[in-house]
Amino acid sequence: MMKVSRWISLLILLSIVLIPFIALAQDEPVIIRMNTSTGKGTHYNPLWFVGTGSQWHTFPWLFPGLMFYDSQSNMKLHLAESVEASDDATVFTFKLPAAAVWSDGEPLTSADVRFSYELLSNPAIQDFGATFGMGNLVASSGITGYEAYASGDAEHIEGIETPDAQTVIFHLDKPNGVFLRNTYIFVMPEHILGSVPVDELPDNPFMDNPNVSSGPLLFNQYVVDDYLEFDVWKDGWWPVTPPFDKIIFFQSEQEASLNRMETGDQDLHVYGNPGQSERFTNNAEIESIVVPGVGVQGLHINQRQEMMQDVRVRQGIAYALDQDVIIDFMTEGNSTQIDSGIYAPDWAVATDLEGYDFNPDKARALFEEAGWDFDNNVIRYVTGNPDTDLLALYVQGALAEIGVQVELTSTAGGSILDIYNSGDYEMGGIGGGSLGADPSVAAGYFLCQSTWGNWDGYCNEHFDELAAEGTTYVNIEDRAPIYQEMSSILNMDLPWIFLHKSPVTFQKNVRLKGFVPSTGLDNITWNLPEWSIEG
Amino acid sequence: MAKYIIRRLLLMIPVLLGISFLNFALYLNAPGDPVSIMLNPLLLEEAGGGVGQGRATQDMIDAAKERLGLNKPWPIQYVEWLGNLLHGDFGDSFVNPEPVNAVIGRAIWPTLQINLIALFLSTIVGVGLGIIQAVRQYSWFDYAASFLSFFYISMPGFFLALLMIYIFSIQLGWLPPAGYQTIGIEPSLGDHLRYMVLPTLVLALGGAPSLMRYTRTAMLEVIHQPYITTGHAKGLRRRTVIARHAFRNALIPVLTTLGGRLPLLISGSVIIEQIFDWPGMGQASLRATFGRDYPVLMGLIMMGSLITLVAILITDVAYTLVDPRVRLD
Repeated sequence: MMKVSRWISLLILLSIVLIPFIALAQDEPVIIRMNTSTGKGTHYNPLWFVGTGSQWHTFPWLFPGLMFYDSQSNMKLHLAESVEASDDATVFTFKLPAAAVWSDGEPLTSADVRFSYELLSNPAIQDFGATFGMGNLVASSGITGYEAYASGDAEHIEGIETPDAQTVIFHLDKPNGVFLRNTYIFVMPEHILGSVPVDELPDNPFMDNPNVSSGPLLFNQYVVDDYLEFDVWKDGWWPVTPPFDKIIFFQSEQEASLNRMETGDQDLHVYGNPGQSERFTNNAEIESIVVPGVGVQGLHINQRQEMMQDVRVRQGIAYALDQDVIIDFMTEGNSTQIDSGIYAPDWAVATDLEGYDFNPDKARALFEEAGWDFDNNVIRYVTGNPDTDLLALYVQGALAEIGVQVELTSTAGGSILDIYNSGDYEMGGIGGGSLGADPSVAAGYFLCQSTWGNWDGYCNEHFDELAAEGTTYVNIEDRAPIYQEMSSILNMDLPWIFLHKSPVTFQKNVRLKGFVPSTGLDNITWNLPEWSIEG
Repeated sequence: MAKYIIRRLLLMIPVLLGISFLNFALYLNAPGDPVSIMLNPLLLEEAGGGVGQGRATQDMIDAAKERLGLNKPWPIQYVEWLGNLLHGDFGDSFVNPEPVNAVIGRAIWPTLQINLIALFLSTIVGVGLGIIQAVRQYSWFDYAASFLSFFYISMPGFFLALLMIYIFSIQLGWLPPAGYQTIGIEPSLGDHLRYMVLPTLVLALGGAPSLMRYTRTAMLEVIHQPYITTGHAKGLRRRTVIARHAFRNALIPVLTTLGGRLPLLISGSVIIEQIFDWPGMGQASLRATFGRDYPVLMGLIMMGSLITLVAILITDVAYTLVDPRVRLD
């Protein structure tokens, strides 16, 4: 009897000792974890693309478009394996890889590309608020026959030609040297969505469960406001198979994300600010990376208000602000001053821009020259974004030094569009975007008919003419003089007070390899298949 | 008693109607509107493609308002909302295309988990230690417990949460700092429990000290009463006197405190859930607030109000159970 109980005890003891080893011996999936933006948008589908981080970081790897950004926010081939542009920049021919298939085995062909462009252009679909982001992209591409299709007069967009399964040819109405910037449009499966009536799309399960994809990732699940989970398509066709098994995107707030970084429960932290780097100074596991971004920090000025229409007033504001101080407190010194809305790449920027070096006396003098009523004029500064509230306070103080009154108007975030539409403001902070990626992108903000132009009322017809001309050239040699002149115009007109480039900050666990920081926040995952976990 | 409960339940109806009206009025007058949030102007940057054809026009705003029913006169909006509410339908979220019931259904269980356990722990610890403190008044234990209770009462919950994360997650690496479970692996109870420990502990430590103080004070009042002395004089065991005679009579203020906490079981703790990235009602409230997701926000407020009223009723009824002198007629 004693012997049996001894054996049982020994077995139990052995089990206790061995079980952890057995568990460890099992293959643990290799998982990459990072944070992304909160907020889902109406549906988790390119049809409802509104530009949230969680969409930017994942859609290119589920529904890759013909091209996508590289780390510098320039366009590179993505789904397409080649592209050829005609000399006059009116015809663009893309070749798709013959191996491309959807994850359910159906071939991915040029028909899917055409289908996606037409679906996004379908006027009926916009009635329920879809295609806001992607639809505009197609609309602004200048594809021949777009208008006829969008107005319901044509069955197809005439300018999209698909001579064979691997070839897509775009014909444009007029030369567009920046057409390729619009070709990241996410390609969706025609065989899944093509038979769904447009008015039934919002209720189609695929809108929130995109379980057929063509990129290297497969959708696993999305717990709204919590996380998105993707598996790697290990036997997929994508040229580079990611060397990990899963990737998780946490939709968590900054503090929770940073805590996860600190405990090693997360591999990459994005949306941080340079000040957060200090927290990890003594942590050998975490590498902080700060790179100059393509985004901008500035103050936009409502030129529909009479008191702001005199350019000397806007220049006076620029001279009243000490850019070095602003860069210090907003970026911990990790940025560089800019003097125009067109501030990058270097070839697009004039070399003789006015620097608006801090000069309160000159600022005051400019206000006086403009006939500023120091007693009665009050600049209403729209605040409401916690990230830039400190800037608002600084601007208020700096302008008070030269006798200009600023009143801070809090919107608490939500009503900012109402205020801009009403025009009841003089100034506000503006940040982000990808203005530095290409001068044509930056120019879009300052056109007479641009969204921001409409709100702020800035309009310079010569600038618009140059912008239109700039898009007709492909070569830098042809584009440079045009955009340099445009950068000078913005530098003198100051539709915004241009402050500095927004730095982009990352915290990365050293075990995450292959990550190359991007200069924008939208293309953080630009080389995701090359990421890996070591150690 | 039954009559009283029915009367109180009926009285809740006008109170809830009043709350619903105030709730709706607040929504109508809140700054900003959900459409402004949905149509983020900066997203047009690439949409303009460099040629400035962004379309965040008034037409789009109007279309979105029509789709959401925001263009109707407010009395109609209110009546429609109230009518749906009576059928248990809180409407649909403005931000995500799902019923508010689904948002609440998803968030309520995580909140209940940590708050129920925290309430249980804080009650056991708070009431238990409060009784011992009273019985051993002015002993070293009493002083030590008083010091700790003041320490925790004066420490803000968010600070305690960060301190806990710093010690147990970052320094010791014993527990995860945030989340509900480890994502990407097979869910297991053991894994989930690890995530529950810190938020539950912080909530419990936040609740126990005040209960301790209330219990101590109430017990001290009671144990000096003549009937307690009589109990001792009759030769009853000390434990019997304390548990059966003293504690029961000291329960009323403790019940009042506990009753006040019942709504938290459902409404959650915004700050704690935020810090620990716990996907509960507190976080849902916060996100609905920042996202101007008024249907969700109003649903959460109505639910919180209902639970509060029910909690008050439960507390009142509980008084009669612990103290026969209390009559509710």
